[in-house]
Amino acid sequence: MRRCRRPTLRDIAHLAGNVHPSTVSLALRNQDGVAQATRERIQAIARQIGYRRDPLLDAFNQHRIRCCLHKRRPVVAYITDVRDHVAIQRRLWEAIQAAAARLHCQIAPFFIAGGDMRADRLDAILAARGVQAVIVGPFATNAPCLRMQWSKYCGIRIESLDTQYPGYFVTTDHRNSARMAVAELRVRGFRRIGLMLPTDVPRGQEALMRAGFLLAQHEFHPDERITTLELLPNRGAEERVQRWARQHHLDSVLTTSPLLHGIASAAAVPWACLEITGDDRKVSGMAPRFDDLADLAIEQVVARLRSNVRGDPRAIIGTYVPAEWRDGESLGGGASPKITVAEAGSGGR
Amino acid sequence: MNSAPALRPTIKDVARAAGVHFTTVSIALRGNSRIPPATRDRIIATAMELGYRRDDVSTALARRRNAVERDRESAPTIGYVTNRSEVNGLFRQANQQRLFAGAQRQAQVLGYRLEVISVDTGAYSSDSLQEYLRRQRITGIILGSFEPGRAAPEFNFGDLCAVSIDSRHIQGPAQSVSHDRLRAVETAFHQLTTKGYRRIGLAIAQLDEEATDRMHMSGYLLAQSRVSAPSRLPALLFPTEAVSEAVITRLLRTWIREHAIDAVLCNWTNIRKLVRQSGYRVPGEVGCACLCLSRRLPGMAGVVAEMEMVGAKALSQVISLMHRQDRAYQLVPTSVFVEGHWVDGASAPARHF
Repeated sequence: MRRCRRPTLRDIAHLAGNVHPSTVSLALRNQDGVAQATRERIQAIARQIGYRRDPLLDAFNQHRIRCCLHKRRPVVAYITDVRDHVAIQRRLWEAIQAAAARLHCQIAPFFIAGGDMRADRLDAILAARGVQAVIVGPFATNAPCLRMQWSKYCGIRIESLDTQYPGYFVTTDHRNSARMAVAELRVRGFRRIGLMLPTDVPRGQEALMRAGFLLAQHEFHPDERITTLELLPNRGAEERVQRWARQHHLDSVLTTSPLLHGIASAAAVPWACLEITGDDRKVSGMAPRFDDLADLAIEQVVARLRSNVRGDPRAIIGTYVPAEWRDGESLGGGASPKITVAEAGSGGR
Repeated sequence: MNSAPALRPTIKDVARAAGVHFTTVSIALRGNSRIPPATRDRIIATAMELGYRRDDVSTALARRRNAVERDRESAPTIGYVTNRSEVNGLFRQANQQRLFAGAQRQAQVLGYRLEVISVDTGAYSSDSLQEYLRRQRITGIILGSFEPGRAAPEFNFGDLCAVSIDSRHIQGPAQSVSHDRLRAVETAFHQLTTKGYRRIGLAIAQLDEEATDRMHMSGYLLAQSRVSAPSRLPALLFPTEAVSEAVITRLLRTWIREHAIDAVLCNWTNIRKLVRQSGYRVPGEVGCACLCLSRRLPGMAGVVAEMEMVGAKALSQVISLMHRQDRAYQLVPTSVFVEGHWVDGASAPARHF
């Protein structure tokens, strides 16, 4: 008995009327060489007759996309708020440009200064330039320009936890960073580790760092659990840090903002950074894998663009990438022997 | 990674270097006797020198195109490996079913078949499982929410495209997908605080914490750090040995009494019943919220987990790993978390003091 043949591009082309199978192929991959109306009509027919992609051909195409250079490179918009997080912004932008070159994409940057842009205006600009894939970089909470019509785009956030849109995001695993940094400090003999978070750390990031730090501390003896300290890097902060370090008998401090590095150094306590942005080998701490984050973000939006999956997911889906520990001078040579010996007994779980 | 996908040498490159036509290279590399042995050896040596590697994907495609019996219906298979089974009943749990259903639907969309491979006690050794996967030509697997404390074979992940769902207690693949339990605890804690509860406690099984990389505890400590010190109560960790309901209700009773708990957060869906059995009226004396509901239930407040999406995401990731397997791609470890959403319910009404 003849088995039911599965629908092919040819069947769709036939049903769509005056269309070539290669047009169908382009339309299903949402290429802008096909008129919007035609694309939608063809996609509807494909849905109707239950067209499914062929896994082997899919694999082959993916492979070819990686090996060969394309004539038509997908355009990906990179939208970000330039006013904040300057060091991160610079590093991310480098990473995104490099990733785009690797993955054969064109990047259209939109460096926005806070609320200067309306969402409908941004929609219009992107539509005019034929942009359907969008990466959202660091932004302050609820920037109005991000209320775009996300149903039209393949979007993803990168290192931007304080905005709601789009629902997909990639971020450094800051919980893991704090946890790992505490573990690294303990290996080096530090026992009384404080966490110093400036108030300008984005909320979502702060929450993850705090969660990781608290979890790591939770496993220690209660005497070794140190409260976190929030402070703004301004005048008088040095003194507060020193007082805090003395009060809790700290032997080391974990911190984030580059501005705080100076303060931490001034407090004369060994310290490590939870988010190293530069190549400064002086700093010990966690170095996010910005290049991998950028790769993941671009791969995700382009994959969705090619398979024509638009809009926000039903639930928020986040991809977390762990940072890597890096040794530097800021920790000195480890804990002083006196502390190590005195505290060694009370350490551990 | 991070190097440009260098264009790999093709048989044309080999042909140029060896000074022959590229079809000769093709024939030589397939060991055909039509080419003089000396020429063949020379071509093979040149190919090795240039680092030519046959392209598996193209080979598979060509093989299929050439096959006499062209069967477009046979879909490649992905393995859904788990130590939960129909026999031990663990696979029948609503959330487990949802994980699998989500993965299966996504497999269908992408043209694959999903097969459950149960590795509960005695079913497979690590070797026989590896052999089975090889024989069935299964190169992509999902480690489907392994239950801690039960059989877990060792895998050779070098040969497999693998993604785990939870299962963080076993030496797993670099990529995992989970329900966002940190966010679930944070959300539930916040919701109950808004409803007037002041002594909120987390009750969780030690085993579940191990399987989920202590995400519940992370969320709990984070939420506690935002309330005043007297409201920070120790969590109740059900030890691995506490298997009977009698032991669990006794532990609950002591903990609730000792810390004057007014609301319990738990990932088990039957927490309301357990609190009742421990001697407290729900919600009269103690409120209850479940951190991992399989669906909206009339009597139960809590966070509904998007288990279908977790399953679907895991499957998509396996496929994308399979697609790039021949690219020298050093895997970046990633954890994907899918957020659930809060639903109100009779087990945790607003409280007024």
